[in-house]
Amino acid sequence: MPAPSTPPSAPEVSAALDLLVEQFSQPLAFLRELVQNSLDAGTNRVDVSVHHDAGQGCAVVEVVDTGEGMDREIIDHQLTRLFASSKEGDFTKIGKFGIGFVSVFAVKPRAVVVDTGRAGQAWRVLFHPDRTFDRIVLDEPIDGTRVRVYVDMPRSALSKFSRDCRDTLVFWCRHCEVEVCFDGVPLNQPFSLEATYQFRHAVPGTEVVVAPSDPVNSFFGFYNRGLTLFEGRGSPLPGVSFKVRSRYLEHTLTRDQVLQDENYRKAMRVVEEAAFIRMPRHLMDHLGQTPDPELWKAAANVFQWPGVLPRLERIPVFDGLDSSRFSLRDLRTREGPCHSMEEDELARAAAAEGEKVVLVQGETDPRLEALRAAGLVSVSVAQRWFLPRELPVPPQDEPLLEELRALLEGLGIREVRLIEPVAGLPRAVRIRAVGRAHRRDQAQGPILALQAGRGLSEPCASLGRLDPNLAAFLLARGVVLDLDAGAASGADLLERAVQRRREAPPRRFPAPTRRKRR
Amino acid sequence: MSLLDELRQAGRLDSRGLFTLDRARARQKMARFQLTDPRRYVLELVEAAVVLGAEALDLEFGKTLEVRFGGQPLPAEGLAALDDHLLTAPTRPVERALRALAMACAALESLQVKRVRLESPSGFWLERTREGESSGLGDFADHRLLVEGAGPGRSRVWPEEAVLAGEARYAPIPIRVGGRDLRLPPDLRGLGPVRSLPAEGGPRFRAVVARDGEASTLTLVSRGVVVGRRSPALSVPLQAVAWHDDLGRNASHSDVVEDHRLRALLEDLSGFGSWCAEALAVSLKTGELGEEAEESRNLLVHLALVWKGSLPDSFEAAPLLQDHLGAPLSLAELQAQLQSLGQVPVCWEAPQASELGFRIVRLRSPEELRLLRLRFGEAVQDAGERVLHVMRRRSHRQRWERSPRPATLPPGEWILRRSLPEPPGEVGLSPQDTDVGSLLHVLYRGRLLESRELPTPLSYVAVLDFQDLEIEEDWSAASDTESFRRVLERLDRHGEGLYEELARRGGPWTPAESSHLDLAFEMWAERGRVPPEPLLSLPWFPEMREGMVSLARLVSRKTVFLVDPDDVDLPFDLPGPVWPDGAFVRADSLARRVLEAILPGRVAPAALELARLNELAVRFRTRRQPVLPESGDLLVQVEIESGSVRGQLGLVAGAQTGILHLLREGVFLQTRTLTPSGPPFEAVVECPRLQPSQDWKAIQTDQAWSEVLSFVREAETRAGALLAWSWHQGCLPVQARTAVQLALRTWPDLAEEAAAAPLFLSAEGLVSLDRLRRALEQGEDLLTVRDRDLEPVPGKLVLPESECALVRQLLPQARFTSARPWLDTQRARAEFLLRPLHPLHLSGRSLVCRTLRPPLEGEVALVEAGGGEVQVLLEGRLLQTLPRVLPPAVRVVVQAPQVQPDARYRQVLQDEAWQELLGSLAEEVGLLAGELLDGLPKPGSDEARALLSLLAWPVLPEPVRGLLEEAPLLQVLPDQALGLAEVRRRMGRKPFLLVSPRFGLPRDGRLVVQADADLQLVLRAVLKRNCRDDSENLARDAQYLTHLKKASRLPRRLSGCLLVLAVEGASLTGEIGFPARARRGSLVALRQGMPLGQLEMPHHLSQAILEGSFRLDAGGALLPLTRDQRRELREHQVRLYGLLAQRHPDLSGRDREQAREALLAFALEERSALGGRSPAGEVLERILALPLVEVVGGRQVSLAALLAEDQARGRLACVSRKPLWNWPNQEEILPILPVGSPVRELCTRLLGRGHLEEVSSPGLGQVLTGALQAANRSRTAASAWWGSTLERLGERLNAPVLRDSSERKAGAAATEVESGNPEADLLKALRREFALVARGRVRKRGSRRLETLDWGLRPLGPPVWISQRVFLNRAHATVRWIRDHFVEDPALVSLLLAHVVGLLNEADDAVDDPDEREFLQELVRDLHGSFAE
Repeated sequence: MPAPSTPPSAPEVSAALDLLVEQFSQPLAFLRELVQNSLDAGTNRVDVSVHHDAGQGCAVVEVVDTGEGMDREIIDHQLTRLFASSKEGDFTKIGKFGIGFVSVFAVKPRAVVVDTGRAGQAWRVLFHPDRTFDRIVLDEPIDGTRVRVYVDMPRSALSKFSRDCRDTLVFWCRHCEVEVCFDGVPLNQPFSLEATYQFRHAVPGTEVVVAPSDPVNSFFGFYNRGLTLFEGRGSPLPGVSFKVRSRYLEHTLTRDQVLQDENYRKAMRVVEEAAFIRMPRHLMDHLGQTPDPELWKAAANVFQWPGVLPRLERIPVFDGLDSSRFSLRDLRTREGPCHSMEEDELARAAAAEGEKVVLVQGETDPRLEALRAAGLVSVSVAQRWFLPRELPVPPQDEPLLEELRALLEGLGIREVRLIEPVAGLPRAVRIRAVGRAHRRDQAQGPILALQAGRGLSEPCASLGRLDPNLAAFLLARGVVLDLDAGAASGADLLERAVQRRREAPPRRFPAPTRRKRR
Repeated sequence: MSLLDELRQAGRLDSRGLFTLDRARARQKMARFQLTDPRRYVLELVEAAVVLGAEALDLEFGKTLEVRFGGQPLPAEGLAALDDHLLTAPTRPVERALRALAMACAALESLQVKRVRLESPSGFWLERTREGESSGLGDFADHRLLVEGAGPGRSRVWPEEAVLAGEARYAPIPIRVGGRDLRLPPDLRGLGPVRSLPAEGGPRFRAVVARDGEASTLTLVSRGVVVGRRSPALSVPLQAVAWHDDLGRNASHSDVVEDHRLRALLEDLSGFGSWCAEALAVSLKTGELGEEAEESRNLLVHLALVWKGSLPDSFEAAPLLQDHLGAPLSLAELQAQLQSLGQVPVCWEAPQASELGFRIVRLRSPEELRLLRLRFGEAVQDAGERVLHVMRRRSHRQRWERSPRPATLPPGEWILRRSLPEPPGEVGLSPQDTDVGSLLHVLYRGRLLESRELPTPLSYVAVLDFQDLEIEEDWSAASDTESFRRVLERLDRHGEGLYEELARRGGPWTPAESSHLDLAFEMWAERGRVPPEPLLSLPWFPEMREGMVSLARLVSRKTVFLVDPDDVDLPFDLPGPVWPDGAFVRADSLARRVLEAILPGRVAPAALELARLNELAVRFRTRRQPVLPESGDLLVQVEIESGSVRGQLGLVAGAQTGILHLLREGVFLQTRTLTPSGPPFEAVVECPRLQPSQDWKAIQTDQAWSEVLSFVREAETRAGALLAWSWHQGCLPVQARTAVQLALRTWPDLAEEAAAAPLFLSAEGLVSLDRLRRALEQGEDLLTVRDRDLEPVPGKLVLPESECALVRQLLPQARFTSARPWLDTQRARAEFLLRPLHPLHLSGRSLVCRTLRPPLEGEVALVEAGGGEVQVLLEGRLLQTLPRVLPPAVRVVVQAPQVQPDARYRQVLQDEAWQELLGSLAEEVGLLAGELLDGLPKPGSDEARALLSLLAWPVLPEPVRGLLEEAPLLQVLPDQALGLAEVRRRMGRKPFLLVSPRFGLPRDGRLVVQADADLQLVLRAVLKRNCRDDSENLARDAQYLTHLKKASRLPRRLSGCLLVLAVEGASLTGEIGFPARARRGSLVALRQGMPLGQLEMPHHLSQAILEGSFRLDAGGALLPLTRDQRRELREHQVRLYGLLAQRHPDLSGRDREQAREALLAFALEERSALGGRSPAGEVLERILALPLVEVVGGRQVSLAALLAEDQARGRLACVSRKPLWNWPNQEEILPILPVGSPVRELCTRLLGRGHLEEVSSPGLGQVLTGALQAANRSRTAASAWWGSTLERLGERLNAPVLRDSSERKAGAAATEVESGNPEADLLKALRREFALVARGRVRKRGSRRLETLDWGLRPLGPPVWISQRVFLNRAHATVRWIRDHFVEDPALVSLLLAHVVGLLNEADDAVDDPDEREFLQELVRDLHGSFAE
């Protein structure tokens, strides 16, 4: 396209320098550039330190490596020549622009010193504040490269400055393949995620570690040779936190984004394979062996990933009664599964009626979260089922229940039984048989079960010993309300009650004394 | 020396240099890497237009992109060298524009566009194509950029539009795309109005205070483009946009540089935030915030808490708080109240009082409390105490005002009473009140202020009336002032005077007086005063040895021992010196208190002294010889005899200590426990020189005791030697072994005497010291184990750990090793050998099976599924089953010589031999697969699946793998057999689809392999491709389709109905009809015109096709109707039946019969609604009037006519089938009521069973006669009342017929109801019962109903019914029975009332089921309480 122009003039270079000095948002990002240069120079360790030069009244940032160093040729044609980097296309190197070094001028240094040696040469390149430099031949040979940046600063500000430098290095270099030390202390951290369960997978040139996570705050990180390229929250794969390091990944000019080219897409395919294919199976195998709550939380996230669930549906991982195990497919019934905290009588009775009962540790058990994530809403056994346990009827109450049964015959009631109180159940309910579990929403049957001591049962029992017919009628009114039997049965009840009273007059009592308002 | 000079010292200056630039590479790299997204070049165009001062930027996105903007013309020379500006730091607007355009062009270059043309009003144009760059001159009105070849691609939308909409939305000039301005006002959502701060030349802000809990968000705009987004930590959280053209930007123009410019901006923003917060506070005060007020208030409270410095006035005046009445309250108002109240009262729950005279802050959050504490410090106090004080004071004062009382004791019987002068009052002793503690009624100005109990041991009652009295602030009592205390002291003296007067008066005293005197005695004793003379010398106290004594006599004794009344007598036979100096008094509680008070420190309980005396008495009565008792535990025994000391010592087994019994002249003195030197012993010694202690329970440790002790120690040594010798001789029992070991430990020299005797316990039994020595000499280690685990190990000597200490002492050279590993392995093997023998054959069905080749033994088989395991045998027994070692289609049972178990015989050792065995098994599987492959299994068969599953096994031999991949084992749809290798080739890089065999239909031409789940896993593992299982979706679709298919056969319009109504309900629309033939109703549910399914019709017979929000389950099946839907449907049914009743006379034939039965069934079901104004009631009225009942003679009569018949005759005669002859009596209706018919059921319900009299053929004549007679009687009775009423009845069908006295006189037929009294009494009883029991809403809504309750006559109807009023239907049998019998059976009233309230619940929306339940409970409780048990 445009034709080559004349060589750049000195003002032009100066202007370009002005422009490039502020290439990064954070001035201290120059540390990252120096560490990157050291890595590309083949060092096996980078030492960074910050100290204060009291004599000169400035802070000194020093970056030392044991890399291959520079000779005059490299100093003139790569270090001090903008955009002249020869690393482009070399996957063993990270840098490629040739402008990283000038970022040291972003902190407005009083001087920058580069001591370096290579092939018998030993050089000090002394940069002035106006960015001109002196080439100084050193008397002593030097191994590797040492860069010192002198920044005007009072002693009192050194502590914060040092802390900022350390934080900057930790952010960019914590997963570096070589040891990076700050004031002698290694900063390197394992290449892993902050998650209890994580899965590692590697292909030549690329390594990933993935973990299920909260979809909103899922973490992602891209690294080249361990150097941070780009990381943040809000992963491109929702619900998957991951870190990927690959020698093929590249960054933009200002290092604030990873370049989304073909290599990026390849790396993401490796991440997807690890996350969506390999990890779920691995996780389910672990679930079967160690019931760690954290693994269940991870499984809850995994179940929400698109396309993963069908492959895991048949694996039995949910504990049931009597050491049985259910898979998700087993639990995928019309109403969904039930759960219980122990193998109690109700759970067993419900299971005998065909209910799938999952054993959990409590209502906050992550197994329930996992079920929800798989589209299965589990309710506690007691929420769906109840077990009527019969209580003996005191002989003096038998006439009352017999009378009640006779009054309610019109509703299809054949027997009346007394049962133990059940929380959340109407005071009267229809059942098929005592001792069997019944669904709360489908309680049907010819037996009327009355809960002892609840509602009208107790006071009516007392009254029933005096006048069974009257007590049974009042109790039947309450039962009709509980059974939602409608208004039609009201007239019928009164007619039956009066009819029975006519046919078999109850024991006469003295007329009620004149009652007064209590 | 300067820093630079110092740094130069390190070497020799070679030369000076400058940075250089590789321009070509710079352009190349800038083009590719500078922008994070090359499409952001449009933002650079925006920047260029803004800095040039253009009025707008116009973009046209088509096949090409054309951008136009005005402004200062770009100079030709600048455009000519455009790329030079890529690397310049611009200062002037034109330079900035040129650099922006340069960056844009460079980015376009990386997009590989065909042509870029740039024109300037300066007359210069520049064009770049892939071939090169050209320029020239022209005449142009605006700047124009033309881009060709950067189209949007397949998406058809230029990404640049989205970039502009997102990042240039806050530009200062219009950004128009196709004439539409993309800009939007900042979408700031927070509290209060958005506020702006226009600036002159500096940054400009637009912001709103963020909601509580939200972080600040800041959008930074520079030169028309968003250059960064931040969440800065500001003192006031803001949602803000800031415009600042001088912000530094990074090289990619994607973010700002964090330099001094940004810091300055943030500081400005903080100031702006404070201003916004203050403005928000002002808005809160002026009430402008509306719904946001509460949230704003919370935020301002929070801000006030973290505000630096003093709070601004706007915050002080803003109503940040709320008082206890809910009114707003500001800090300034609280400050003003603090001046007068002295505190800031706060509360969490508003107090129930309103008139308090001050305002309380009602706290709603902990932050409010923190704010108040921060602002007012310790002045913030809980208001509860203050409110309580105000309320209490008010209550006490009212109580005082209502309690006038005279200053005298109440009249009645008093032992003594005296008037008191000042303050006036009276004091007295009451014969009823003799408890400890006196009572004073304090009057203030003639009214009772308090009644207080006085803390005195006396029991008098006093009343005092004070004219001047200091009263507690809350008016609860008199203040405890000095003057009041003096009055109380005076009163106490007056009270004491009463008692002295009573004592001096002398006896005899009444029981009440004695009780008072007891108190006085105690009082005097406590106060250390001598009681009056008559009481002092009375013989009041019983001494056990002297009899009754006076208080004066007891004062002379040293100690008074108090003996409980129940204690035994003293041992009077003991010698004198043993007795203590004291008196033993049997004392009750009063005597005890008096003596303890009068003789302090000299009174003691006698229990200890009594026990000592009794025990001494026993010992003196029994004396003994110094001889050891004969016992089986005694091992050896020696004599002790020296002078006057004599006795015996024996070593014993089973003891721990030495026991020594000491005697003096045969009297047992003491048993002492000694630490034995060797084995435990027991001894008895008699020594007359031993001195007993004073209490005869021990001896004194003097010379005699030392002598005795030395004799005992000497005897112990003799006994030890005797023990060792006896053990050696074998004349001791085994139990003595422990004692012998103890002896040897104490006296090791004795060991040799017993060396040959077996002494030490081992796993092989007892072994001697010599045996251990021999083992050590042979270099053998001694194994040790815990005592409880002692078990022999062949060839080893195993000792329990308890034996080791003595062995170490006697044989210091002994070495010990733990026996645990030997024992564990030994036990594991023993357990293993107990396992049953396991066959070397595989059980169950297999596809193919073969015997393993030697040296292996066993079998390998291919199975359909459930395999993968290896059963490893050892010595013919199953050692371990290893799951998932093999592919799921392979099972193996193997016994191999090289397999080794672990130490516990539970697992196979995973060593090299095991790996070798796995390799051998792989070969065997390969051979087996080859055999199966020779049979050419069909694709999809079990054999094929099993073979394919082998492919997932990584150790499968490669030749076999190749064979399997080539074999056509896969079933590919529609009907093709392919090998895996072929599938792989055809598939290429495309993904393919797997479906399960059930739903195997190729859908879009992709390669479809039928595979079950297991096979899918195998294929995924082998192919490593994108395989998808669509079976789930297909299954769900199929299930849903089944429902839809079934539903599609349902009708969409009603047919075969007698009548059809359109339904336009709240949630249901469609049609409802009455079926002409069908006996069962049905409801077809529609959604958007499509049938969803069919439900059984609830309530009444009808058919409907309705559209509505019907619920479906996950599989598409229709769920039952909701309660609301059922109710709505019932309303439509009632309408339908109303219409049916209207049309009924026009119907004929089967239609008429069908309608008749349905109407009767409707009436039976809904009879409770009769007479009501509900729609159902109105329909029922119509039904009653319809001629639905056939009577003898063929006529059809209405139900109303039947009731009238019953009323007239007292019964209703009926027949079940048509008689063969006509009914002679035309005046009596004789309806045909077939048994089981709805009309019969209805009549039975309404009239009562007793009123239905069936006339059967044999008795027809007889019944006929009776009926005729009844008719004659009734004709007379009805002549006045019924004669005309029958005619009027039809007219007045819709209103109750109220009877008055004139009507009652009309005829004899009215006698049944005319009495009046029973009916009125029943009404009265019902109302009274209701008034007694009903509460809450039932009472509120039912009172009026019960007040207007009356009697009515209806041709038909339930016992009671509700219209606007409630009526008791005297025509109904049940009601009549109640009316006639409720006097002798009052429970009938409760029955009827409960039913009435039930109807009230049905008819009145304000009364609900819980109300009725509450009423029933109250009724039951009331009834139970009213019946005598």
